[in-house]
Amino acid sequence: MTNEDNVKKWLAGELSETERTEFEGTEEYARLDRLLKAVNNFKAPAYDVDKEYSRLSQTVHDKPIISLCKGISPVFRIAAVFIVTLTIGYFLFNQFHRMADNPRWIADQRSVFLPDSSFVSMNADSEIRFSDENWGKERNVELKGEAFFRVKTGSQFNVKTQQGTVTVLGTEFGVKDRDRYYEVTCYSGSVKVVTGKHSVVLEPGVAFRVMNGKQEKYSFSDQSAPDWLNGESSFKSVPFGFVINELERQYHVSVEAGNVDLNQLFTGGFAHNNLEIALQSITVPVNLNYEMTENKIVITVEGQ
Amino acid sequence: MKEDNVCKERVFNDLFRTCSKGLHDFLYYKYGENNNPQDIVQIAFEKLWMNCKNVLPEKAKSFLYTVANNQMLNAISRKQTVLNYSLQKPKYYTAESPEFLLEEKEYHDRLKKAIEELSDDQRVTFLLNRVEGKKHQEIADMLGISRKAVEKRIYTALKILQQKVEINNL
Repeated sequence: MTNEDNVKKWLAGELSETERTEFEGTEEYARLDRLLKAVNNFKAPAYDVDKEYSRLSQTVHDKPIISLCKGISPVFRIAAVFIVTLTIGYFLFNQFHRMADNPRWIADQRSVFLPDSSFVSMNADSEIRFSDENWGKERNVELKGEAFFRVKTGSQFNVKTQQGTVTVLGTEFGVKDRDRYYEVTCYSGSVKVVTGKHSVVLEPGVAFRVMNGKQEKYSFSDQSAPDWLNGESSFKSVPFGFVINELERQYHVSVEAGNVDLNQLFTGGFAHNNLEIALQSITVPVNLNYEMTENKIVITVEGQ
Repeated sequence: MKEDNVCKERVFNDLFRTCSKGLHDFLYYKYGENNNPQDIVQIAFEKLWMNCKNVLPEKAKSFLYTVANNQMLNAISRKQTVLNYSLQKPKYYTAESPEFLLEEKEYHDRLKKAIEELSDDQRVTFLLNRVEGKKHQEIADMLGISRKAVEKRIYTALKILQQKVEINNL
């Protein structure tokens, strides 16, 4: 038997009496024994069940009990108490609930796990909001800005933004809702987008966007997640004004570009880790110049 | 016959007495001490209380573990996992040389670092088995994985720890 087998069997208690005695005489075992004895020093600190229960009782006393209405109680007395509890609970809830939770907007984290372990990662300047207790029959998230979603298979999952609603059952997709720029990108699964009166279904490798009122559907390949998750912003035939806005967001700067044609289409990108290089990345390909002073960046047309 | 439900103080109390320590230790071993495992346990039970009408007593344990894990993932700081250890004093006293004591301390420091560097899953599986004495099947049920997966994690963790700890003993 190899050493590896010895150790595995010893761990599982499967060595015969003689095999065990033999193994326990080896130097290999001496080292193993020392390590395992030392590991015992890492025991979790003592947990005082009584003390923790008292602590819990104090907070729980004020907490409302939520009830999914399954039918009207035949006993009026009980129904009355239930309604009163719920009403009080509604007002107490926001006051006493102390964790970073619904229904306020979450903006101080870049990524969040939803109650069913679906995952949301947010880009700069973005916020989400969702309801913890009503998560189940329908999964609803409100989004301001841009985020990438990885949704676990389950009930209908909706992402509502100002310019539209995205509905999925279980998939990976991105939603971008900025000023006059709305884009939904489908990386896997199937995604339905409803914006205004228009409704479209996207398959993997397809994106839908509305820029300055113009709608279009386009395909892309070789991408399983948005570039901004990897520290880069990239654009395909996007009016230059939106590119500047994104740069402002990523670097928290303000850019003046008065004489520049903000409608010219731009294809390219910039990285999030170096402002100078980022500015070069967006100005050089379209024959523009930039000037960076202490607190201001100005982009001008070359030659002016 | 009246059904037991979690909203009854007696039932809720029982659940706390049986599950809280295990849940606390699980969170401690998996995420370390600077992620407030005690607070997360409180929050998980608060949520169980608020949802006591919607959770059956037999599902309560799995509810607690899921909620606690999610809560932890959301609250987690990007700090490295930190565990504590205290060197037990030897029961019999031998005059140990300073060199030996130093070597012992360095050994334990290497071991602490190595345990902290294990993946969360490896660490919690390994420690629940070796320190808390939980059986492979028990851990498999707790974590929702197969018994074979538990054995594999324990063995892999052990190999990694051995490598890292023995690194100076050539």
